[in-house]
Amino acid sequence: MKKTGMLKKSLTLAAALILVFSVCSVHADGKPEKVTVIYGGSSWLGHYPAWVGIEKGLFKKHGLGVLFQNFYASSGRMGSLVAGDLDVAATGSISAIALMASGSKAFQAFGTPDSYATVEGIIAKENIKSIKDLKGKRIAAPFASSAHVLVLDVLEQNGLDPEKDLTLLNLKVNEMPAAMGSGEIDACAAWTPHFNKLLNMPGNHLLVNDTEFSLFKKYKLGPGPDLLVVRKEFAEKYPNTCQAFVKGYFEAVDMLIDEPEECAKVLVKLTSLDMEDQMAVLKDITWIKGDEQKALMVQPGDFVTGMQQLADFLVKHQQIDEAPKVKAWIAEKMVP
Amino acid sequence: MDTLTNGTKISIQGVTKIFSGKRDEVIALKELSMDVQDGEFIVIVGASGCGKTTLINLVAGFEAPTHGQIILDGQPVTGITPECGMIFQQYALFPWKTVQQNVEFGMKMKRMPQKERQERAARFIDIVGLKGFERSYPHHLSGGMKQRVSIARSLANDPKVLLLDEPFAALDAMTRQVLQEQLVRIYEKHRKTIIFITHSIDEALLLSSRIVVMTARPGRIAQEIVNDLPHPRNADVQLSNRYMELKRTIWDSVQAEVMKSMEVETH
Amino acid sequence: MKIDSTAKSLTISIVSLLIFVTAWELVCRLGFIEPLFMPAPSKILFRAIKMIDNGQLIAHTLASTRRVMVGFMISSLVAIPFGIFLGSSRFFMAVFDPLISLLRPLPSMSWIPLSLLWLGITETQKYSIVFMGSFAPSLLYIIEATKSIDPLLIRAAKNLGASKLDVMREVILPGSLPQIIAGLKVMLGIAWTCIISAELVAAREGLGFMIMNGKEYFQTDTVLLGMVMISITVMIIDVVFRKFERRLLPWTR
Repeated sequence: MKKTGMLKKSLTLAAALILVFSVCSVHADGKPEKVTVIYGGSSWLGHYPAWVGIEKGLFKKHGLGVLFQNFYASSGRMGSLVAGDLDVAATGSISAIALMASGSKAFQAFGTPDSYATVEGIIAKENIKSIKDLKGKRIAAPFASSAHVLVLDVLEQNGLDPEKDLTLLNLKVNEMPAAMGSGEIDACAAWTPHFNKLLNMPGNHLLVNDTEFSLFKKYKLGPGPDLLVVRKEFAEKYPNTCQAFVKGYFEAVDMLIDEPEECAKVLVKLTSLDMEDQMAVLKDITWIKGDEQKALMVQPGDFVTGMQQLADFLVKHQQIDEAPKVKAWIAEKMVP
Repeated sequence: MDTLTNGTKISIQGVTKIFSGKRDEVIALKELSMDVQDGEFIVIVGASGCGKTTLINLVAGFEAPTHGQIILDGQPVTGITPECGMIFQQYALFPWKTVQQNVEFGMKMKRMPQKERQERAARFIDIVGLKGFERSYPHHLSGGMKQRVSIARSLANDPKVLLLDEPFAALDAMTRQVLQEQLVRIYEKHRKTIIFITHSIDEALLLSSRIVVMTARPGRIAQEIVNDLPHPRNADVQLSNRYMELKRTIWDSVQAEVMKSMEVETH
Repeated sequence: MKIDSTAKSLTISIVSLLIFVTAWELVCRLGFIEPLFMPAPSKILFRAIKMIDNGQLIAHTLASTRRVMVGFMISSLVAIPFGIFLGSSRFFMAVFDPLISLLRPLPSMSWIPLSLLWLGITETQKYSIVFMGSFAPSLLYIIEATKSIDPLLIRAAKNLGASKLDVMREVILPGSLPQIIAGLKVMLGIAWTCIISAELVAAREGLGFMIMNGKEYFQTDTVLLGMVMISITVMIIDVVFRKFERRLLPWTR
């Protein structure tokens, strides 16, 4: 009885296993329900994997055609995503948190491709030696961006009030070199490649970079880490397509780590940098592999905890009204 | 008669005016000559389109003659001159100025001190019988009142010559008569040299010291008649025999011109 | 009778506004529209209360209003005499016509990069955007207005001894003033569009900044509140303008 029971049990188990395997294999090899994916990006380094994936045929290998749509600002890209014009995108997390705070459930996050703490920071005139010296000066930052958050944070760490103690101006990063050159502003917060350009200008020096950000000290989280997001309806309707995308995407991340030179050759088409500068930018980026994603996004989910802190920080600085529960926006199934 | 001449005020010498359009030319006046003595009240009568308005515009300097010249007090007229005060059929009052400000306008242009011009304007407003309307704007006034403001505005500016281009044509008959009598009284009192244009023979006889009948296209002088009706004149003068006699003479002359101009038009 | 009918049309206006707002609120409450795309009026109201409370709403509104008024005043003060001058001089009209024709089609936004280089990130730069956006169209309005003057009045003025300058000051200016004011009212609306675009760049206050920043944070209620504030401010300025107009044009009463 016991034996037959055992046999029966093991048979059932085997059958279940076969079933599971076959389901798995169907899942793994299952053809994408939809063969085109519209990706929203820009020339920012957070979009390098998607570009490399397209140019090196990594998505194609998984039966996907990915269309790269350019958006200069994260907010516009996110707006298009929830409006249904894009399927997948990478975005600055400030924009993503703001969109979560607005109550939109139309998108989910499924990964973070990079960490770039040393190519974003505050650049100041040489006579400004410390953050405290910024008192009474004019500082520019693109509002609602990671650089903006960095400024708010370091000012707070040094007991300065951005409303009273200095003039904080809203300026796009590409307008900063001219404004610094003409002396319109005394300091500015920017990211690469303008960050490098500003640093190379005579009379400028680096005041702080993202490593000084309070959450970075605790969680190794920059003020605006890049986030991969998907339109929720798309993820639910086309799970195979999404799986294929994730595979191709993180193969591209691997390629960026293993063969940076090969990747740089195709990336210059996106960034219009020359090879030398492109390689320099690549050196400053820490890529996060597919197999590290689960730990960051799901269990224990340090990244998500960090994002939650960031949301609370934004509330504290009156940038958003209420901190969303970031965990509710994670597409766990899609995290590799 | 009081039309004693103290010399020639205006001398129109062989004046021709040609308007060139895109396709053709119109000869409005042809070699017209005429002298106006100081203190004369000339009324020019003619059918419409005979060039009488052109003539008065040349005297005022609004337009320049194609040939010939106009001499005012020994000086040729070369541009618009405030010496020839013009009164238009459409009044040409400044709608944004009160009666007082309209009458003061010419004096203000002469940079006359404010107090002086206010007093002078008040006097002429009184002369034309508009006391109490100083602060009114033109669009609150009737046509007759507007024309009286216009007359006061010209008189206050003290021009050497007063030019009137069918000034009463747009008014109703009663108002016209009142204004005509008022103008006669002003003339009798101030003895300004006046050139007055009309197509009404009655008006010409009532007002003028001399009547000039003009031919149509090209405009020339057909006939000049000295109006010897006695002063002071009022509407009653229209009942005299001499009035009827003069009217007939002028009518014959004007009628001939009208017929001619109609023939021209039917060509 | 007249008061009665104006009261009546006012009532109709208020009722129609109430119906519109209620319908909007209902559509949002019943979930037909996602709040990200169109927040309910009540949400906008809450945002307004919050921003009045922390002083931001008034600060943004005043900042924009000041910029519009300064830029617009300077533009008008230059355009009115210049327009009257050009309107009464064929020669100078011919001289300046090509330049005006080149400037006119340029949207004020296209001046932002140059103005930032020339004037830096200053209030003057903001004024200059309003100025550049409203000057050329104002000038054309004013030139057009001078053409509406009865030439007989100019003739009469000259006949009374007015010089060219006298004619401009005493006849063309007051004579075209009603049209000029009507034109400037339209221009004031355009000046507002200029300042909104000017505040999108290198600003930290103003309704344009508020709208832009609201957009960056997906706070559609802030965006709509900014838009409502522009409408309300323009409406208030319009009423003030009308009072001013009556004083300036006593003869049209």
